Amino acid sequence: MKVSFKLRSFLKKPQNIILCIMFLFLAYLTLIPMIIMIKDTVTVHASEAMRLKKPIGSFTLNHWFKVLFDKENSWSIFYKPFINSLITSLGACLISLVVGGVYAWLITRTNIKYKKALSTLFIFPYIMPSWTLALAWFNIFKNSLVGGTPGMFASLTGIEPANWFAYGAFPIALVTGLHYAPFAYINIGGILRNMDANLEEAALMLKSTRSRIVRKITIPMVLPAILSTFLLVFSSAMSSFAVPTFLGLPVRYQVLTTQLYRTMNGSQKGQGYAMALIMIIIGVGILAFNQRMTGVRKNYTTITGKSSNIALVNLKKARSVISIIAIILVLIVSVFPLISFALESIILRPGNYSPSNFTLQFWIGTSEQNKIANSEPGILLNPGLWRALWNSIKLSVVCAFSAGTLGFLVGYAIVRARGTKLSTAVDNLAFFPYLMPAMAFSAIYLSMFSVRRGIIPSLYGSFFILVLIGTVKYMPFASRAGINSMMQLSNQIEEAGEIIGVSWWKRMTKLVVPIQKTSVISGYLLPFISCMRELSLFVLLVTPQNRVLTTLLFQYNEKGWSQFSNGINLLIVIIVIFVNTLVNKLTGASIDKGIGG
Amino acid sequence: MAKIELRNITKKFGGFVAVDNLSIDIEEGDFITLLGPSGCGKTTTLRQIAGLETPTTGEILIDGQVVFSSEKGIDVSPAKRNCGFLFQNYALWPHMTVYQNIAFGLENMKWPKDKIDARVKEMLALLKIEEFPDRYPAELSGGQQQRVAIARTLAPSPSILLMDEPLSNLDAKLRLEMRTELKRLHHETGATFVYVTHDQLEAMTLATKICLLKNGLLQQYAPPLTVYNTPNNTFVADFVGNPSINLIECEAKVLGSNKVELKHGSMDVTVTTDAPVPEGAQKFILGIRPEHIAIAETGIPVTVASSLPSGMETNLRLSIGDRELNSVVFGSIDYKIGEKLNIAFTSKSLNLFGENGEFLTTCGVEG
Repeated sequence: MKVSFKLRSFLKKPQNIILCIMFLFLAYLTLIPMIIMIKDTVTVHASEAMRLKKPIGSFTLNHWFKVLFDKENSWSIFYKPFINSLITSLGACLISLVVGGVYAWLITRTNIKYKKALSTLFIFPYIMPSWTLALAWFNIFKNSLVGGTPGMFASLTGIEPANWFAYGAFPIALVTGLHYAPFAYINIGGILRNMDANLEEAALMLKSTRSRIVRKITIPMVLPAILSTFLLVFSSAMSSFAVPTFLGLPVRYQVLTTQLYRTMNGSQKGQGYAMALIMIIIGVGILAFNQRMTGVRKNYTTITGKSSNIALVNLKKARSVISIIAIILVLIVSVFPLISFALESIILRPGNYSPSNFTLQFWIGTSEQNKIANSEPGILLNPGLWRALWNSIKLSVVCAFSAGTLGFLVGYAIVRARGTKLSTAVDNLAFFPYLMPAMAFSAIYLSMFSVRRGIIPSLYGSFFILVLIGTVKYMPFASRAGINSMMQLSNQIEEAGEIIGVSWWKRMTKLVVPIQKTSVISGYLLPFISCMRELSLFVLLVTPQNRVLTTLLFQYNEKGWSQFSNGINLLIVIIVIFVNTLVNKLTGASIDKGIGG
Repeated sequence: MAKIELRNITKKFGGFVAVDNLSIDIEEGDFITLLGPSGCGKTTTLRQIAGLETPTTGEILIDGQVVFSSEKGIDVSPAKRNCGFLFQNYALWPHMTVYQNIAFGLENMKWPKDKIDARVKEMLALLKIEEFPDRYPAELSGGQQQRVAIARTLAPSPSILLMDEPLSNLDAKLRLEMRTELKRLHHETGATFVYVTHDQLEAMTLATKICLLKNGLLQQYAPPLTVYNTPNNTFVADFVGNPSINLIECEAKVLGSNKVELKHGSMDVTVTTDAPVPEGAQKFILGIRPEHIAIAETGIPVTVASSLPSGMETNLRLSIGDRELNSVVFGSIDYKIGEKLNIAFTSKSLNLFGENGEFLTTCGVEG
């Protein structure tokens, strides 16, 4: 009697129902795949049975041995790529923090000119796909030392860029760092802008020198933001696949993700799963550390003071020079790549930039005209491309809809039931996919859904599996946005409706959602754009029928058809920027206002 | 020693004039409150003294030294003005312990470690927060944070202490306690205090002199009781005192240079003024403090509109024709709504204002 009463009053609250359903849903799509994958790292797969001389499905520690302890194998398939990943990720962190931090300081704290233009353009690389800068770098600095045609720089100057400059660790770290610099800028700039100016004024009143204020007050205050930016950039850089593909593969510079892709596509699935698991542990470790560091004791909540007009540092004579340098640098990373893509897509023979070599045949040529490109029809006439575009849009819309809706509901339920065990469990489960490197996550799904499991048939090759993984992977964007905004919304607003008998459905549609409009829309926008420009999550799972734009781009690039890959890239960038600008103009939501990578 | 002089200070934010040609002298050891409704320029004035805000035009002197002059192009850095500043939201550094917060200013002055330690301990004891040196601000209550902020500001013994609504974030009981504390601190340190508040009671009880501002313009600069008893205009009269003063627009007939008959509704009184009033004036505003309205056997007939007894006193609203008067009657007494009473104006120093609200003279009702 008492138990059934308790159960009934528990289920009376809509948030509890949502939490229960989402708990099952997320557990099935995150925890169980994890367990299956762990099992896969110690199981003999079909392709390995011959080599291992063991029956399929039997237990083996060979995969782990090969990855971690084998003299010849481990170094090339794990340790070397691992070290390369560490080097490029640390380099990217450093670059993004220095560049983003300096820009944040210049824009919020000095009297630099063109602030509006600077801050708008500076965000640009972050809205564009992560490999945009990599491809631009490749276009410009590729050399003929490793075969292939020379890039723009070599063609125009006659100087072949050295290999270390054109490919490998240096450019990977640099372009990844520049891509995430806006992220550092948003985080650090946000704190600098919202930081109570009184905190610095108080130090000034106590006769502190300017430099001591910066050292003792300003930097410690932004340190948590710096640290969490560092960790997020680090884990994003670790899981980046496209950039090392463009800039590393020409010189066989492997990082964990590219090596994982090779291993998974070869006949060593078990070793691949073992590597994916290690990546997941690293990713989860980094972000768990980040959560712990955002400490409790020193509370950094900044009560904004009324004196927002803090004295800006006067750059004096250097003002114009710094302003112009700043704007030129920003233009190089935000606008120039687009020009480079457009240019590369209209030159007939790669490496020749004279106007006589310009052609539109890669955009509008028929297959008869495009004999050099294996009779591939031009981008705008290519049915394969149109199908991929349609798939991309369909997938992004569906993922955005499901991730956005579920994420918002989860955010709502977590906040409403805050403090309960169930709420904490769902909170962690929903955020878990964010910690997982995309490539490793898709490896899990490959492992889980490539065979029939109970009533669920093999999903490999279906559109549905892409939707599923996209939804789960992007839900953290929406659930974080939902949690943050629901925290701001007093419970009383809903209770005021409840007390006059407004149903839950009506309370949601008429009260909660309209109030939280912007964050709900960001909850849809972020998954949409992330999905539109996603490569590493889908590259293991797509089959020729359900190719999306990004994987098509990847394939053209592998074949070395630079006009096509550049053209498609331009197309993706334009779509992403167009949608973001449109939504931003209509609703005020924008991708750079949320979390993301 | 620590005298502050403001000369023709004007501060504009774009087209908005925050402070309009303000000139005041603050004597050493004064406790000045800058009082006024929000947006009147009081915080801006305080921040200009500190050097956190730059006046558009004017001159500021501290101890006879020019620290700011728009004409001479002088702008001494806040760090060199020897002022302490207490912020409304305390502005404690969240990443430093209480001890580190208090020691920060002393470190800037390159004090030796043992002297810093002694001074911090002294401040902790003075503000009664000895138990918390190792806590972070987030671990303290509002009142404790407030004490830490005061300790931090007082530690370097500034000769001028500037305070920006320091008590507005505290609850009523704590606020009362801290007011007493501040008055004690003022007495003990002998420093010059400049205190911003919008709470007239705080201004009245704390200050040696009140500087009342409205829309950036100085309204009155005088000791609290002077402001209360002879306000410069009806705005000042209305701003200080609770319940607020009764301002009655009257039809007037000047009977002699010191005698005026005033009529409003059922009220018809003749007053003797302490200074001559302009002849031929037809309208005056009579200002009567609530405590100067007494219930009498005979006098002006009124009806009780509301009665709020609080034990020590009872606040009454009394209607005379088309308007109501505030009155305070001392003692434990209650009246019924609708009860008919008679009132008399007991004081000989009622306020008489001209038609435009400017103060003319004090006066008393005949008889």
